[in-house]
Amino acid sequence: MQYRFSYHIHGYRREEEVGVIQKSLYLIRIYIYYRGTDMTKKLAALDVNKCIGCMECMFACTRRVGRGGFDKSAIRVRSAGGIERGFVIVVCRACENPPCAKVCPTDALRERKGGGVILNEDKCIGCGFCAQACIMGAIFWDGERNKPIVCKYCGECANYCVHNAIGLVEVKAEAEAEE
Amino acid sequence: MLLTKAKEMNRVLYIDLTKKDNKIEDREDLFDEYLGGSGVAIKLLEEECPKGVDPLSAGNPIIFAVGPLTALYPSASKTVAMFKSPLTGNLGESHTGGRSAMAIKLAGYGAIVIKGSSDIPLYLAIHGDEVKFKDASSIWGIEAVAVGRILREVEPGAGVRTIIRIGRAGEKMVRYACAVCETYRHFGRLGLGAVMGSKKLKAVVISADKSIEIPKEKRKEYKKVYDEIQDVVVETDAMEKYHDLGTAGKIYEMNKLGGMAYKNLESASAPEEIAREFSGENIAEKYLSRRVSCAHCPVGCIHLASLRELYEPGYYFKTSTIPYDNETIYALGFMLGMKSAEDYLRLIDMVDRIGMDAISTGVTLAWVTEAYERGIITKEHTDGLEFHWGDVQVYSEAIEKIVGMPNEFYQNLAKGVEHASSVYGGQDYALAFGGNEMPEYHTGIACYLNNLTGARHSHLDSAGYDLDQKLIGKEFTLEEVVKGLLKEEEWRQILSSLVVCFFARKVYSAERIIKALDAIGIENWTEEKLEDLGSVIHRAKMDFKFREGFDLAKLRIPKRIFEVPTPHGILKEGDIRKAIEIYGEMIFYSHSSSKL
Repeated sequence: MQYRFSYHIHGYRREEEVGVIQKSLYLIRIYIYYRGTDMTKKLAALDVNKCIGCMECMFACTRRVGRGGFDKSAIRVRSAGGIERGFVIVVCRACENPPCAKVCPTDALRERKGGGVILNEDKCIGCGFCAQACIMGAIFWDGERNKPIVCKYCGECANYCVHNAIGLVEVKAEAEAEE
Repeated sequence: MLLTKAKEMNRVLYIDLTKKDNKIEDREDLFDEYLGGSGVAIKLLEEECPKGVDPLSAGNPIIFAVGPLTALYPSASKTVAMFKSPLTGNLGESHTGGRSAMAIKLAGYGAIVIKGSSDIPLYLAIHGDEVKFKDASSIWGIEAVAVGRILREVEPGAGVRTIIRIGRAGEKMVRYACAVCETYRHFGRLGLGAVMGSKKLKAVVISADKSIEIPKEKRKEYKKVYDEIQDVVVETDAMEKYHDLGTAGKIYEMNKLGGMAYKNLESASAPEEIAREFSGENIAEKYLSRRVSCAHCPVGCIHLASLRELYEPGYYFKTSTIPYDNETIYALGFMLGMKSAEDYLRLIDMVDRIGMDAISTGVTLAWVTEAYERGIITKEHTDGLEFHWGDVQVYSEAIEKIVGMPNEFYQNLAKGVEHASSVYGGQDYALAFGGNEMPEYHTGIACYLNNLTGARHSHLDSAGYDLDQKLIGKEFTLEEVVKGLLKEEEWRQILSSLVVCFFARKVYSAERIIKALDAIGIENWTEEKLEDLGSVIHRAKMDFKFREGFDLAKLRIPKRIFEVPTPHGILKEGDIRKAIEIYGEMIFYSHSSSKL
């Protein structure tokens, strides 16, 4: 039996026809990726003073879907009111108890264990409440599809941050460090 | 919004400031054949710029062009501006980075042509397909930095836009006024600011609202090629050379080599303590506050200094952020005999705010100082100012007067050193080539051939200073030098058509360019084809120059450069004239439509 299967993994959207065994393997992989408790990662601005404003992270995020630009990017860098003041990096900080999930009327945004959210696009009706609820401004909008753009914590952007301004960090490790 | 077909990325936006009207045309024909950037810009200039037009009249077009690699590959971050230069009266071409290239491309344009002249001060707000003419009367007369600050708040598109604007120098049509881009980047040379001023165009805001789709079958390859280029950008010496200390990092060595024009080329190296004061190391240690980059370039070569100074008794301090680099240290530091880096920073801050090209300003003021010391220029001319080397206060006042133009002398200074020296004398030490004030290098014959024959009379045309340094201790013939320069200038036409930053020139080899183009669906380019195109674009520029009256035989060469030894010894005028002749023959024979 063939299943038509669409999913996001490591930030990539994939669609394929798979058999039942293949499907199970994928599901397990996805489960491990999203539910792994000790290994839950999030993207963090490690040192905003090191940011040179090159926007490579923004380009990297949209490049995942085969585009040049940043209309699919879940990260933004802009000057803090003039370049002399440095830059601001806006990206989902994977809040515990995230406000965006609280206001979602259709349960499209689900809390991720360890912080942050997972978006189920099929459930999303594009009301935009989540974006309004995020006072960090870290939920961006995909005007083409009328859906929110939420960071998937895949770390693709960080791979291109030559100056180590952003990086993928383990949620647990960070929590311990804060204590 | 998505740009999928090549033709959507090859749109040219035509703006008419006289009629306050605009239209968009697909110019696939141009982009297919000439890639983009310089290649497309020179063709648009041929179409739009009538022969013999006054550069400060409505007939002179401004062309901004980006290229096929823009927004798609790292360090493809520059915009080419083309116009007829009010400084040289001939081809004007200037490049800038900042966010300009990304913004133009992702607003959906390959090039923007601005024609006509407005009756009232205007600024253009281009947000994707929407083009608005906005009244700029209230920001007319305001300095370039503040205009950016104001428009940043009025216009949308924070983070994904460019704000190109002029200062008071541009409004007053100082012939070497620049256009400032994102506060710290400039279309510096050849007077784009004056052309904008003549059109009453105070600023152009362009914001991005689109992205470019990579053909499905190419996506894997695109990512692979992208990563390869990214790795090379990060791993070549570009990072170290341009990020760590920036271009200022080579100041000390250049001075030690004896290739650095000091005090209007009184000598080719400054005393040791001056060289140490202006070295990249010293400025970085004392003043460097931040390094930033252009959009989509990981290098971060832009160095910003922070200067805290007491400006009034009673603990009134101000802290200014000031960009510095190699060429401005030369022009406003070495050329003017400055003694401290702090004074140099003050001058660059002033030049930046007022919106003038730092190199032309420095060289012009250096000529004034020497002419004043020799008695050709007196206090009568200077409106009371006494020029002495290193006097930052007088230089600041002089810059203010060049823009204010209180008398005929300053009106003449505002037309550049070539013009001023033709009025007052002292041409032997008026250091301009082809009408453009000279860059720092006094390294040998190649740098001066570069200044004389380069299409823009800019050191970046054919990098003669680089060739000079490579030839130290070697035997060479004039033919070899000319050939080397011509080959370099032709190849750089490809880089500036793609448009990639010259700092990444080692990354973008022919092989990688072909791969990069192929991976985004622009196929069938070969190394040979690229090289041919480089020479075609170069000849097109030279043709434009000849059309506008450029004559290799009539190039003025200031005597001063033959009086001071270079690292290659004293230069001979005969050699340079001979080499120019060889250059003429080379471009004439290889392209029959060139007229000599």
